[in-house]
Amino acid sequence: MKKNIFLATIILGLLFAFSTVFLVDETEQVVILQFGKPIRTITEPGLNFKLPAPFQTASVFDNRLLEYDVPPEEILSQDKKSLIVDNYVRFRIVNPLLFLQTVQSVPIAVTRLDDIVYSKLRQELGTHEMAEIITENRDVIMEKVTRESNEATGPYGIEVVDVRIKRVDLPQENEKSIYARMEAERMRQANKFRSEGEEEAQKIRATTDRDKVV
Amino acid sequence: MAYRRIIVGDSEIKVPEKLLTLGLIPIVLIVFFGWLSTGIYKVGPDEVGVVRTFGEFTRVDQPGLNYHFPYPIESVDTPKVTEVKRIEIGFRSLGNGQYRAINQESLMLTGDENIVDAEMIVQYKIKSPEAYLFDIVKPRLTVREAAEASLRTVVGRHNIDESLTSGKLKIQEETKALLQEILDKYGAGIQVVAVQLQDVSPPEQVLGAFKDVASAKEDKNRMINQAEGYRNDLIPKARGEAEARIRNAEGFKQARTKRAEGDVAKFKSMLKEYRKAKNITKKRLYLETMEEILPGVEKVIVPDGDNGNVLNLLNLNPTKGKK
Repeated sequence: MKKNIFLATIILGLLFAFSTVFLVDETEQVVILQFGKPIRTITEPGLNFKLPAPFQTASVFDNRLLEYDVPPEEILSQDKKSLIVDNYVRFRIVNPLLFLQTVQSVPIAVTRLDDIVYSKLRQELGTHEMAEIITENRDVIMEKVTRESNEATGPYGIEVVDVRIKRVDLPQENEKSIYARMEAERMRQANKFRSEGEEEAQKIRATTDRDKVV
Repeated sequence: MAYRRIIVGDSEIKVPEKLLTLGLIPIVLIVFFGWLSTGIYKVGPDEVGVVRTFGEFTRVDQPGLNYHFPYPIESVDTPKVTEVKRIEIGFRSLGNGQYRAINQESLMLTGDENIVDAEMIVQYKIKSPEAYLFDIVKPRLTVREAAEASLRTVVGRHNIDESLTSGKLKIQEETKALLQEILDKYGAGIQVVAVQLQDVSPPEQVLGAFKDVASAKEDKNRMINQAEGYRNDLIPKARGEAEARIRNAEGFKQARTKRAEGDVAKFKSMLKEYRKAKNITKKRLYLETMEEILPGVEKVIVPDGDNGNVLNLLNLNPTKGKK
């Protein structure tokens, strides 16, 4: 009888010991909560210990660079041209504790992120002309939006690593007018070539006729 | 020997007592070794084994047979590190050489606010397996999105004619550099092997106009060629004609000179004769000249000294119509 009690104690002890051990993976970071109160943040992977379930619980967050693809939006440039901007965001949870306290989970974080990035992007693009957005300044604009978004998401424990404009397109009506312009431009070129050809040919003929007479 | 009787279903089995007391140990051992053996794993020639010990990255195993402590102590991933992965932008291969265009991806604005249709292939491989596995999510999507963004950014820096012709190589290189820069910024552990622009063409809607420019260029060349043909045809002919005339003239000149020289010689010899015997020579000259002239001339002999007597007229001409 005594032996059985002894065995049971050992088994219970082992179970208890196992329940205190937990792994933190390379891709994870963990906040330990004691009756809901955060007491510890673990960002390094490896073997860790905590009190078993009802006493202490672990909230696990991704440690990797996370992606969020923003659906395309119509944004006005400074010269009042509307552009369809498709951008994406790369972000990382840098402060799991803040993250847990403010947004709890990635889906909620993404909606916050969306609000912030969208407003920053809209604000920034509104100060540039369309030509700038398309050409030289795209890098500068993206960098600025990234920096500003990053400042705004700091309180959520999120670092915005990159806001990148994947596509800038024109709405369909404008596309049509671009095509029309392109066509006209090419037509002009074609006409130029043809009349140049004619001119050159005439010249050669005239010179030939002159040479012949001489 | 002591037996214990165990009833299984309808039949009764006698199990030796000894086996029962020993029984637990071999079973435990078998289970234990079985568990240990789950740690044996193979790393293919194109892979490496990335081992995590209690969740922490500890080592990289090379191709061949390897061992890691079984779950839950160690776990292993075997990413294909030498494999070059491929992403298509603007189109998707459907196999058997066919492909489908994706305009949404391939149409983009150039620096001079025109639109081009550009298709691209990105080849990449894993540079750092641990970064690739543990630092990013959705690596393929990451490369695709970054590649699209880079291509558009770079095309936006160039105008349409550059994009369509001479600037292609430059665009390719710049895109590759930018893409690598972005991926490094993400710490993705990915190496961009190559970026290849497949087809850069004007959008379908204006393709006709672009082709017309090309044919206009051809037209121009054709017209010039035709004119040159005209020239090449005429000039040698004219030159030949001119040459022929010159030659003729030269021939004429020589002939004329020769004849004149002959005349001079003749005249000189005659002069000599004349000086010797003036009257005879004079007469002879007169006769010779007459001899030369008279056969072709209408001749009427009128006797000298008479008072215009018509009957004395001797007509030496053949009568017209009577002959």
